[in-house]
Amino acid sequence: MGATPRFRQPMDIIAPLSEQLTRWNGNGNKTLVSVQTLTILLEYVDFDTAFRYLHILTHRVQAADAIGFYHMDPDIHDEETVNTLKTLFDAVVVVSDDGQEWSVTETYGDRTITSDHVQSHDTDVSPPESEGGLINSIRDSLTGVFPGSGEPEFTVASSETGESDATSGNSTTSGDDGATPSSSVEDFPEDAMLTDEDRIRELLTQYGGRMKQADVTEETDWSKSTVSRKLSKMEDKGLITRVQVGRGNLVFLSGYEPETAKSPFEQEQETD
Amino acid sequence: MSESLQSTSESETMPNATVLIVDDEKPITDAYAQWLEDDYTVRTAYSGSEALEKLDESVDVVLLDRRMPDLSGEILELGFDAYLEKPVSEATELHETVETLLRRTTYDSQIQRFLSLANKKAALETKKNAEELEANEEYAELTEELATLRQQLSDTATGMDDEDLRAEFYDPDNPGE
Repeated sequence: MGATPRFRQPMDIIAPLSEQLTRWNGNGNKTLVSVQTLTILLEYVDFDTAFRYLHILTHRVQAADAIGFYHMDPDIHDEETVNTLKTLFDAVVVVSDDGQEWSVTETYGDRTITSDHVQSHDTDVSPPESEGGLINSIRDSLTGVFPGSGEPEFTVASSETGESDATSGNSTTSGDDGATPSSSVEDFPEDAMLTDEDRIRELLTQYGGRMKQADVTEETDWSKSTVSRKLSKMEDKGLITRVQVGRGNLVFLSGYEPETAKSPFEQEQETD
Repeated sequence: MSESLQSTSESETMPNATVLIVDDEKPITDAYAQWLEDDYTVRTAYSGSEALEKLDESVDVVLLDRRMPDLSGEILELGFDAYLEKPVSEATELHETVETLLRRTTYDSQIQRFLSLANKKAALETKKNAEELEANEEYAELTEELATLRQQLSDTATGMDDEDLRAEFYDPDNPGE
């Protein structure tokens, strides 16, 4: 037991994902991979490793002819980090706080397109076909991936599918193909990918580092006692802190506690 | 058997690659050398100290018998990521091992270069506005080289299986949980 949170070797995650993607490749649907946040990855491994990890991941996603979306909150990371990571992806999507406005910029090209242009009826500013396809694909995917799209600002980078792939890709999330793309999502052996603790951490990150315990229960569909047990374990490990507020608990991701709470991370360093 | 050997005319991964074979059992070393010499520049060493003499930056792959008696700690500290755990009995198998190691080496240097260029590009983007970037020659070159390198990396990674990639992430300071 080290002092650092358990981090599985990158290939323990990439290999099964890659296998599953390859199995789905050519089944008539476009497979879409959404990595809900890069923040946790960047928090727990050094940047060099994270960069390699993302390169292999995007490569494998591309090799299986899938589309990948990788999300991060630019407010959490400095600009240079975001800019460095950009080089791994085909395009960067910036979504405004209210989710109403967005822009897509090619990483290795000059094209930028914004929500204004797409909505405009002026043919002069309408995007060329191929761009529209990419944009639409990304937008469709976003809508599917984020049911509550009023979430905080996301930088979304579409993985390295060739642009043409992305344009032809009817997003798996649209689900009006007669096929059952949504089942792909359910079929995926999620256990192979995410531990319950990872999932809770991701939820917390999505919620900006803190959320009500009741919301954890709601989001995960686990029972109240299961959630309580898991959170208590995580609190022991110093991954989160819980603070009683009124009749419920507020859960803070390590590093997001209010000033008065003692940093559980330091505590962990000492005791573990 | 010999046919398949002939079909491999040169390293597909890295032309003019140099391989250093280190084994105190001379017949083994010499056999390996013979198997490889058509396709690579081969150096041989029969002891750890000789290996150190023959090792320089032009060596791309070292085939090392780790059970060698006089193997100094010095050579082990160089951090090779693969050893021949068991004797290889076929030329084709040895070729595959060398190609695998070359792919890893290639991937390693390509991703390092990629990351360093990406850092430079990001630094410029942070410092300059869109117009300045547009006029910046270095920025244009960086972008172009990154695009090329990205394609090369993708080609290299295509030849790497899960085990190869696992080795990419192997951290000698933290070998597993």
